[in-house]
Amino acid sequence: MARRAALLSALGLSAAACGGGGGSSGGDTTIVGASPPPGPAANAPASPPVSPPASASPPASPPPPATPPPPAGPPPSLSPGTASTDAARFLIQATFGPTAAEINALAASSPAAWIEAQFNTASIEKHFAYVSRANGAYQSFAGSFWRQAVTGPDQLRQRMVFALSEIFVVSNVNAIIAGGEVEYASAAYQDMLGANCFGNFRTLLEAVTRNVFMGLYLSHMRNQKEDPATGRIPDENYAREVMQLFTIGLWQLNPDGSRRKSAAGADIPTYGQTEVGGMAKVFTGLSWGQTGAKAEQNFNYGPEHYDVPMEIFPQYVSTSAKQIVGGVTIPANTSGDESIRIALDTLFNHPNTGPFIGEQLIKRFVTSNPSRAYVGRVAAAFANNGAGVRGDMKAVIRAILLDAEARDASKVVVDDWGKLREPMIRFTAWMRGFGARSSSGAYTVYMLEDPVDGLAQGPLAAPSVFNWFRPSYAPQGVIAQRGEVAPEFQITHDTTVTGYARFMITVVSEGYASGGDAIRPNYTTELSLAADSNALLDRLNLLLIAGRMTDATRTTIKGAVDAIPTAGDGPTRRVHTAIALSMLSPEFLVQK
Amino acid sequence: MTSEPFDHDDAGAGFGKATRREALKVIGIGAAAGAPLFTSLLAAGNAAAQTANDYKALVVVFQQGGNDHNNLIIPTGSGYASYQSARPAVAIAQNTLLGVTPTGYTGPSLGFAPQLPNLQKLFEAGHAAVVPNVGTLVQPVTKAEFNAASKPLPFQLFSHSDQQRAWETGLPATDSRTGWLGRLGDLTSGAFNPGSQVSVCMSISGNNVIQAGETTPQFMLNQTGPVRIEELGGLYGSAAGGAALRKLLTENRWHAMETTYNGICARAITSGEVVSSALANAGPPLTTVFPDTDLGRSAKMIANMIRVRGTLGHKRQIFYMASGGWDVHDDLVPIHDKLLRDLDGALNALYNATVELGVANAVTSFTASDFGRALQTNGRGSDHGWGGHHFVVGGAVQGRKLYGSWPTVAIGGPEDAGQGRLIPTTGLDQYASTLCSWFGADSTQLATVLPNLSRFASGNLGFV
Repeated sequence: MARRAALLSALGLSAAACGGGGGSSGGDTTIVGASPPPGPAANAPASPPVSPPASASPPASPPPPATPPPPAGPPPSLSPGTASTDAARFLIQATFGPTAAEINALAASSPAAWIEAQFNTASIEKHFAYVSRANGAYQSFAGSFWRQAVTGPDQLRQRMVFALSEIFVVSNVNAIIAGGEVEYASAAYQDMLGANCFGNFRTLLEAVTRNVFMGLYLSHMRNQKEDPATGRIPDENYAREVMQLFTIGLWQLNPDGSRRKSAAGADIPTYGQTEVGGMAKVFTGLSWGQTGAKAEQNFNYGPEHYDVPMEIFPQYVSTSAKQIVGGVTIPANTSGDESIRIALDTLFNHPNTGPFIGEQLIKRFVTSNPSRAYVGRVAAAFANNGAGVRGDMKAVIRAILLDAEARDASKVVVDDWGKLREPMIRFTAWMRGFGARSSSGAYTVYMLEDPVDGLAQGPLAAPSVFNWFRPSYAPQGVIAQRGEVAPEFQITHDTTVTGYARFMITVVSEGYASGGDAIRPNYTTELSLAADSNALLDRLNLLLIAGRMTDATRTTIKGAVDAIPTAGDGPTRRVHTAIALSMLSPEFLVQK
Repeated sequence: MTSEPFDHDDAGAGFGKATRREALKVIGIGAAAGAPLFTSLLAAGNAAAQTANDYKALVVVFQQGGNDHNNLIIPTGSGYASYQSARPAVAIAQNTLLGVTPTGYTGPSLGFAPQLPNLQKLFEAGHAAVVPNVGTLVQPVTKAEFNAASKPLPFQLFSHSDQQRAWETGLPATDSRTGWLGRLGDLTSGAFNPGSQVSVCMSISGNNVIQAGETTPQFMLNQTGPVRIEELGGLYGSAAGGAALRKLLTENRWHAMETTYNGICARAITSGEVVSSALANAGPPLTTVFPDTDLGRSAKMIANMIRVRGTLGHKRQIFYMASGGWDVHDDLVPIHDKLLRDLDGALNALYNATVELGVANAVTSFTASDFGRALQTNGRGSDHGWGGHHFVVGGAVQGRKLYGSWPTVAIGGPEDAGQGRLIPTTGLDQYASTLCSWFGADSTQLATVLPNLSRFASGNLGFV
């Protein structure tokens, strides 16, 4: 169960809660500002756990609270779920948003069967084909992305691709690739993730490494061997991030994702500058993949095939010995392809990779603060799919979504369970839940990463390779006090919370875009319930919140709906009010 | 238990559970305090702050990705050859450099990059200073000590996220969720901005760590001001709907994430209304011309917030603006060209606006970045480094000077940690403490803001 911050309620003061105890064996408890550490391996004194139960805090009054108030009031009582609410909850975790039809279908089936069926569900088409048909028109990749997210049957694949694109980050916002070319590059990248997301992680890692967009984004395309005459040394960009972000991370991990400790109790780095330099030499000599005869000059001026993996151009490959992680040294004069094979095999087989990737995927689908045991079970599935295969991504996603912790309905009343729904997924929940479609078939949802007029998030549009948010971001207040995390809060601030409210209020009543490309909802069912606010809220509660709207929120929304007459344009306003308030309710924003 | 360790590699803002305890030692009470009492106790214990009634602002301009300082300030004359030979593919031609004449300086002659004409003028006029080779340090370290690994070093040198966080927290070898400007805000907002509805820490560029205090939140603006939810006054024409909306967005909640979200909403609504009103009633626009660039627009917003400081109840302000794209592994020359022009234009316009507003002596801007970069290149760009050069601009700045020692610009020099990565000769703590002292922090407060400061010989470099 959740730890609570200790509260000195009589004074209205909160004492510091000290996390890091209990199950979070990797918790860092270093004292900030303590006396000078003896060295990088400083043995940090542990903080004592403080865990009296919380009491209600006084309501905030101006001036505004400096930090968010601690959780107030008891959790809602746990009512037994139904097959429908359980199905809706699962679909919130695993798709871009439930539809009534899918809730009904899943309620009569099982998550396990649903997942297996999804493995065999094809996408509408390749994004590259869509973008090619549009001749690389402005934002055509985004158009393809939203079309598939809203209408595509392969929801699990798309969510997996979305999650992976937040780990293996490329971005189209940095003008790395000019003009319409970036549409092709983005489409090819998304297709590459889609083709590999239910395959083996090792294959995925190779495909990411050789992808043109990635090669341009992290600048290992056209990376050249060292040249003592000019002092040139290989670019370390991809070398560093393929380790830090894509496979093993900075610190050695136990199988449950907690940090390994030295005998002195310190965290243990996974690599140092020597290994970065060695890896930089590995990723030399890659450039545009060739569809015809290969010519050395194509290293610099290759025909631009964004959907063709990069190839090795031997004369640019470093021939020196390369020291990489795990005590592995790639011998001098090893070929470029073989060097990459050894390096990626080494990263793939590193004990960190399963827990490192597994924990991040749990956070994308299910909860920001999984137990160590949950991470350990997912990492075990990564290590062995049951048939002796390491890196089977089907086994990994099964382990994430079917884990007892993920499926335990009683979690919905645990006050640190779940995650803040990502802004893009809030929008798709509305489009899918209410059958919103573009009449022309074109989804002109452009520049959604704008925090004022959009949602501060858009497909392949993160600000840097560090994504929109880091996996261990903790917002100020009770979450950080507990030593817990909530990554999505890194893009949650004054501008974006108001931006989301404005965006959703407009979209619910007017749809998105205009003219022939307007995306309009179909509220037929909701309008038929407009006069009966209880029935209307029952439906929205299931579609948007998996049946877990609290009584208090229901009372608040019902009061607003019932204040609107049922005559004239009343039914439409009642429906708009009910949907908008439901989508701005805390229950919707934080999926359990 | 469902908890995850705080990763060093991650930029986390928010509450440093241990930091708070340390801060409490400073003020001599045994339990942590909520915001109002916490700050008022500090104020009561600090007569200097209590009696101060002046206005001061700090503006940090964060160069995200690691500025290539090697192409920022370049040795000229006899010092140019080793620079040129160390990075022939990206070296700036000597005859394009903008010469400067620092006083009290005996090193090789220097030139600013040609994209910095305004900073050159500000420097020569005494309104800008340079702090060379400043970076994250646990404590001072020499090349011999670095090579022997005999002194503690910052966690994960050369990693973006870690070194950016170290610059922001001022604590390169410990975990902290608070930043040094946030801690400075904790210690000054109660005394200087009592009752203000708007945080002392304001960001134009999103959530960051450097402004995260124990109790001080970051108020986020976009480049045209706060965003408001007009529908709070009526949702689809219904006052009841607007009231319900306000309740759902701002009420305290039982769930940690829900209540955190609503806390942000409550602050956004309250502070947003105050700021929107203040900006709307600010009078005719500033005559200072701001470049129509990302940084230029951010600087303009900051100038306007400085302008309405009285309406906001602010006698202290701490601003954050950032520009991205400094990680020039590739295409260093054209990318750096644009970034430096934008930086030069924005800092100059902000300075001009402070002159127009009559607060030039009260506003100090300074640069920060993840790290400097390696002198050696990959032929197209440069890799992650450590120490770098930074600018401080403002009427109170003791300009036309370098503070700290100019490094040897050569592969294998006495500050070279490898590939021309500079071992810093000035600690971030010293750079930061100089700024914080000017802002009004006394020595006791500095120990809270910058806990490692006592490890360095000088806590005040004297540039402002």
